[in-house]
Amino acid sequence: MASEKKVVFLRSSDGEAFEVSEEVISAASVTIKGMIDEESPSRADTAATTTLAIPNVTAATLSRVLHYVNKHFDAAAVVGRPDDYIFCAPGDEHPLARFDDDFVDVDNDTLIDLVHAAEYLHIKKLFDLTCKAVADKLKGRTIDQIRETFGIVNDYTVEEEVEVYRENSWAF
Amino acid sequence: MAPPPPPELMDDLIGEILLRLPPEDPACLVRASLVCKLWRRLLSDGAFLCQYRAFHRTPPVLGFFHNQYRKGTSVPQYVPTIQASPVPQPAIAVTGSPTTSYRTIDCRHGRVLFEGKDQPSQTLIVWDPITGNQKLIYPPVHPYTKFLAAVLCAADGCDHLRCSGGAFLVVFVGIYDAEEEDNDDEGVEDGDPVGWASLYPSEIGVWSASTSISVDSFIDLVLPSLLTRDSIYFILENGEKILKYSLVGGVLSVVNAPPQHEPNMIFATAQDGDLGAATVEGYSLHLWSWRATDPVGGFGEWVRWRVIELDVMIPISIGDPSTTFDLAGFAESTGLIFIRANDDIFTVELKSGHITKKGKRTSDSPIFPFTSFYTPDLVTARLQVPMRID
Repeated sequence: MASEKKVVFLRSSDGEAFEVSEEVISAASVTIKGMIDEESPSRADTAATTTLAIPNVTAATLSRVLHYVNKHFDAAAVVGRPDDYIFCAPGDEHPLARFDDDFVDVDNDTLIDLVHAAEYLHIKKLFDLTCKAVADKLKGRTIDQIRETFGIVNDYTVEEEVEVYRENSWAF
Repeated sequence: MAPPPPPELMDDLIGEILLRLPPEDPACLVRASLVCKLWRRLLSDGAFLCQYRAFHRTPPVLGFFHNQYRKGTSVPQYVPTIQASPVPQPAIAVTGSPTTSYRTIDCRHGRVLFEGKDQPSQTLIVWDPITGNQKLIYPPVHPYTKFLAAVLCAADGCDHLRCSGGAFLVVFVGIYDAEEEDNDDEGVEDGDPVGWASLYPSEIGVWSASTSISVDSFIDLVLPSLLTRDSIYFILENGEKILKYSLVGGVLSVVNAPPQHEPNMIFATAQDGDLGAATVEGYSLHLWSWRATDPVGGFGEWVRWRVIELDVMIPISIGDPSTTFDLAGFAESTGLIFIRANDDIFTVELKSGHITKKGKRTSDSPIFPFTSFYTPDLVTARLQVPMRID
């Protein structure tokens, strides 16, 4: 029965607690599954729900992550469909492709926070998705824009820069 | 208060992100390497780029070769399908002599095969646009009226992620028709034309002994060949018949073409990775796969496994009787069919059915897609390897 479904609480770095199904988050996050497994012996005979501290992730990011996790890992919500579909009909898309597109259509800082959270929580699908989204953002930008976006300091000398340009003139 | 600095990407994550830069846009790898020295170090590191190619698995289509015909001669031309293209025009097209006609006859695994014709002599040229290496080969000495040829990587079990510059094979198939030859040579008896094949491994540098069969067919247009697991297929008689050359044992056999191969047909790998073909009927693209019942005798049947409606995706005037779909080429590794529709060129991706416009029609010759990675380490290799013509 639904009421018997085990839940855990995740506490963000800024102190906000989020409820999530234990089964769903365990399927999604290797890190949290590890935490739950460690906790298990002590909570086997108590009715108390577990609260896990996620010190590296803020409430804003964690709530986004859980939105993703519930969409992708809740067996009841996911339409059955193999991931490695080859040769499908034209126009056919993975049912969550649209959701994923919208999910990463966020500002840069939010996206990078999600990359870090996905890495820390070890959610492979989310990590792939967000890294790909950052890579996609690099595509259409100039070198200066990329540096500005990611706070990177140009450590090339003018001569070195000219040399790389010269070697690869076709790319510019 | 000043705005907070943007969140920094931790160094180990930069690699993960650069790994996901699209291989279809090799220029973005180069641009990214100019961001800072750390990025450049990563993007010129052999191990990282090896991981990059393995991550993307399939070399992307960077453009295609086709032929332009002018004043009785032809010249191969490279047409990039990406914005910033690193692939140069073939040197033979730039420096070719006015009496020699060159044309593209095959392209695979990052190598292009050209035929050079300067009456009466014929040559084959294998060109590697990434390394710039070019190899001139004289066709085997065996009588043929017309021929077809294919080029492929020679390495066993190669993943073709970085075999550019390595050993290659050329398969040469000739058909000799005594009647067509119109000679009264006493020694040659009239009868069915004879098809024969010979193999040229670049490492050995000589043609193998030929194998032959009687072929009740002829070579018309040079259409792209198809490589499957262990065979190379050629289209005969503009799609009436198919000639199979088995790379294991070098045996030739003839396979019937799929039904409705008019007005034209090209090869397109079937779902099982074996022999397949594409044909057009009305406004729809039909995909066929060959089910062999007796592989030795060449018996079997064609099964239509998919139909893609072209008029839904290609903006054409429906009902316009002048609309024609011309199947022009197929990229084996990516499963991309090139179609000319009136004045435009489109690609149809077999995996997704996505149709994309790729440019304007500038020639009616077959299209030979060029697929390759173009990572900075290959560029460096190109700079170090002097152009070699031997």
